[in-house]
Amino acid sequence: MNNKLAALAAALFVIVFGFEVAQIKGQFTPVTQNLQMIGYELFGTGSVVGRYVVPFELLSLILVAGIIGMFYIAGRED
Amino acid sequence: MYLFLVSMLSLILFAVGLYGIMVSNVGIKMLISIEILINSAILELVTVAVSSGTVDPIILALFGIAIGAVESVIGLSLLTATFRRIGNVAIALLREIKW
Repeated sequence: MNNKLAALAAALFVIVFGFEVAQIKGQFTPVTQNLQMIGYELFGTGSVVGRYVVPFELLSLILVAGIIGMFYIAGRED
Repeated sequence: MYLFLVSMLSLILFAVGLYGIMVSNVGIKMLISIEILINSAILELVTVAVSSGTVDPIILALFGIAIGAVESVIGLSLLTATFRRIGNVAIALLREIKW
């Protein structure tokens, strides 16, 4: 693609979405995070299953599939 | 600092990644641009998480980091295979390959 057209498209993207982003109100004040909640949400506590257990396990499947695909594609000698 | 300024930073980063994808002909540059896109989304998620105090965006950011790693691994392996076949990583030459 032409570089000028690409720059124009990127600038238009910033302008169009910039108007929406500029509507966000408030100050950026960091709030104290409860980092234990990440583990609770991912893995659950005791008998309570976390909300993100299934996506987390599916993500591990994606990782394994990516590793196997990488070895298959990059290791092929032909 | 205003919240929208931080979001604007990630928006500009996203635009840089888009420009890189549109301009680049070489696969490595395209991969780097896609990484910039993913990292801009992660930056926005972390911004929302830090400003709101909830952990859900941080978990989504963790998922995004893992998916970005998979994407770069698969992209690099495809580029390696392409380089072995045609001795070049120019994306425009990929249409000549019969997979």
